[in-house]
Amino acid sequence: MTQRVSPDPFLPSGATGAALAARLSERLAGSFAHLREACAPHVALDHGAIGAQIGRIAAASRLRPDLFALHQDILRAAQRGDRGAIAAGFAELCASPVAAAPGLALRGWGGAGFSPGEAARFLRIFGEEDDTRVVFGPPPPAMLIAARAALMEATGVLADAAPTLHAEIQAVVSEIILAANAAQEGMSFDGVTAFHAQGALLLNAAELRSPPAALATLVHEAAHALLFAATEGAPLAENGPEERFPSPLRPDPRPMNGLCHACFVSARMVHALDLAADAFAPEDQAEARRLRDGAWRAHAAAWTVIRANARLTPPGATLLDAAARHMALARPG
Amino acid sequence: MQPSPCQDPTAEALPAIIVLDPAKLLGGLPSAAGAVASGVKQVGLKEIPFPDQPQPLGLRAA
Repeated sequence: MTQRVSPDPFLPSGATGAALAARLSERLAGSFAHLREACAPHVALDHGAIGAQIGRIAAASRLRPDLFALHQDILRAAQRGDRGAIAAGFAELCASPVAAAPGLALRGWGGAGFSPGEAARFLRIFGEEDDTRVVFGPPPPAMLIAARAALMEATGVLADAAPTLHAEIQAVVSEIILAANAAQEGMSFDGVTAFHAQGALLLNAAELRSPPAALATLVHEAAHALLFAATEGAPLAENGPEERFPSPLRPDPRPMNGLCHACFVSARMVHALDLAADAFAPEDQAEARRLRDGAWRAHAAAWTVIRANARLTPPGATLLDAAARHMALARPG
Repeated sequence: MQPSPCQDPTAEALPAIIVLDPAKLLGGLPSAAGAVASGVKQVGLKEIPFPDQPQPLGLRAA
């Protein structure tokens, strides 16, 4: 498993984020090259065009998330031996822009900026859960406007109060997709982060009610993306997915890897809100502290379960031990 | 073009058998366990509370 982390594996670093993003570009380019080589005896491909595109991917400092989704499509088509889908996937790869636009793009789910292929891939990657299908919809215009405003203020606060975390997020995350909840009855979602659309965060616009909530959500989901980048999607614990444990953050028992993610991202929320709480407008500061304290308790609860039950991988132990050291020094929530 | 006598004209209609090396693939081969169980997706799914019901721990789900 690959692990690229800063000297203190918990503390944010723009340089670490950029190194992880560049490493993923190289790895994705190598993976596309292997797929092309493996498929070549079976499918007629435009090797020149694919090779040029692979070169652009390897050189990109930050990739469009859809390229990771397209990679999954081609990989699964190769597993099925589906020649038509392989050819179509590589043709779409050659027609796709490679580099993510600078900054943090904001898009509404189902908006005009999505190509039909990209929309279908994102629906599949973000919407399908193992035993559940989460259904997303475009947010109503007023909700979208409010969520955008909260996020803009949150990113401004983050840039001023936690510039290294802001820089790391800018390196690892390229776009935020705002969606509305159309999930199954009685259930909602806050956000989804997926390694197969690395660099994109899917956030529930309705949950971004205020700048502190937007900052907490952004930091939370970006920390998932950071962990995916650091591990190339590999689990942080060796416990199998069939082993389930109580989670402080979800109503249903979760696999140990989910608890490990929750533990780290909660600690990152504490770190961010400790730095940023005083930078919000006075009327928002109490909410920022409430979110911070809740995240501290979530970390503590998850860490207790992890210490008792987890068989952490070496990177998992490095990252979670570092987070625990920082939380031990933080004010209890 | 007519297929040569030694070619199977139905071969192209059959799934190709493509050999992949997991070590050369970003993220390896997809797991049969699914994205969440295999850890490549984190979903913040939560129950919708009644209006007067506080959120667990006062925060968002993960």
